[in-house]
Amino acid sequence: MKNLIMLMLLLFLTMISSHPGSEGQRSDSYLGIYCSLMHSTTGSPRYDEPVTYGEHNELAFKLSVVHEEGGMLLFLPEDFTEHLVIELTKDEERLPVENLDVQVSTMETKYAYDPRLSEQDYDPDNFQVLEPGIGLRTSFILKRRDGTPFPYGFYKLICYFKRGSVKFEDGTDWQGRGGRGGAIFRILRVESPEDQRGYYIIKGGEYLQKNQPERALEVYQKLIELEPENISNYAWLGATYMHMEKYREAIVAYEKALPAYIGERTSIPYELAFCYVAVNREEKAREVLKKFFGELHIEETIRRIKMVLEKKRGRHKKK
Amino acid sequence: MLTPLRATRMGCVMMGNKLTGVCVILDLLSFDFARQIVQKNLVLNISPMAPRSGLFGCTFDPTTNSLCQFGRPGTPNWIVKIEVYMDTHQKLATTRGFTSQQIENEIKRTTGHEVGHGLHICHRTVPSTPCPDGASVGTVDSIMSSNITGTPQNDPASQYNSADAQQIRIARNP
Repeated sequence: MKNLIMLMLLLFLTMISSHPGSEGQRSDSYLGIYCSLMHSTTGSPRYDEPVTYGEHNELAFKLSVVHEEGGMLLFLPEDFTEHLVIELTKDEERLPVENLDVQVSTMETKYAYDPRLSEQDYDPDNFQVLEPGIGLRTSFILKRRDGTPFPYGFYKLICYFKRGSVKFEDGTDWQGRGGRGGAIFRILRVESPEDQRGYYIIKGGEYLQKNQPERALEVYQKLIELEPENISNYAWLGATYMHMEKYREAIVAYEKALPAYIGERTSIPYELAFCYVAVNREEKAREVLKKFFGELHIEETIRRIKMVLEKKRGRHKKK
Repeated sequence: MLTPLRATRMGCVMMGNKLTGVCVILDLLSFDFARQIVQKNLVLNISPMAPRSGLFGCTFDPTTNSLCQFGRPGTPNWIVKIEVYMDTHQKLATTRGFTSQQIENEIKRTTGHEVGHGLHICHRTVPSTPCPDGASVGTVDSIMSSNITGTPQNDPASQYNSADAQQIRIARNP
């Protein structure tokens, strides 16, 4: 009897180990896919999720793919963006995928996010291999095929890879955990002064990203007119002038905004310090860094700013 | 390897829409990188753009009326939302020469920093903003420093220290 039980147990274990589902598949790895709507903000007092305002004929998203763990390399196909499935719902109703046009941009960045890896430890030009601790970043644009704007409402976007398109280095299919990502957001009509404020902030950022700083300046001027008593808004002007490398104008705007940022953990004092260094006023840069952050790291910050400025100037010379 | 902060992990942070301390700390221990997630998450939002220029993160309680804590410690059990802003972090590459690794480190630092405010911990080493309740914040860097250092998790500037821990206040439920 004992032998029979042992035999059945052995048979059972053999069956488990040779289960057809475990052949050609592994499940010990987490593939993270993260997505976020570009040109949106969570600053709305009405909603917790990111919002964007006004009519949009196209929606731009950032997409990140990361291999979070596991002992083996994951391979994405060379044309991996072709294998990406994108689903969009509006107010819980699925929008037919055939009505959507998806344009994935070329790969933008490969990066390390594991502190144990240094930036030099991987080949930044090889986008097919996804090592643990390495991420890929790209972007895509969604449009409606009929050319109409996306209606106002609550949206949910989900993206994942087609089955079998991601493989381990031994050729087996990835069937691990994760592998789905997405974003929720709202497209809102501009109805209140708070909405108008959000609209200007988002629009200005969009213009800056598209390298249209003059249009960003116009929008931020309107923001200042909308809230003349809110001096913190001058920081947007400062950021735009900085983008244009008009450092003296940026200093005037940042100095005006600075009192509104006392006690906050912001980048404004760094940006003002950057402008001071750019116009050879290093002592003023030290002063503002000391006032906001204390004695630590001042010289390291100045050194880094100089490094960035040298790079910028080097690029201009090449042009 | 540490796993990222995900919706399931954040579940334990919620208690009647308020942030609860013990769970947050447990989450931080397993925290690697937090980003936008599909599920609606009332506690932690990763937002593409800051509502005020240059802001890295924000801790909200009902008394601040949609404004940040401005370096103040959060009222125990009153925190309703924490936000981390991506655009401000990404800009560190062009203003301070940060590598993508340092930017990722800083995103983690911001998240931990804001969670710290949520647990009633003050900024440190900001001479112009003493802690409103008179708490001693020490003089060495911690994750609560306002400074942006880009240091990895094993650096003291990316960690809580004893002066931070002593400031933690979590109100008991009535």
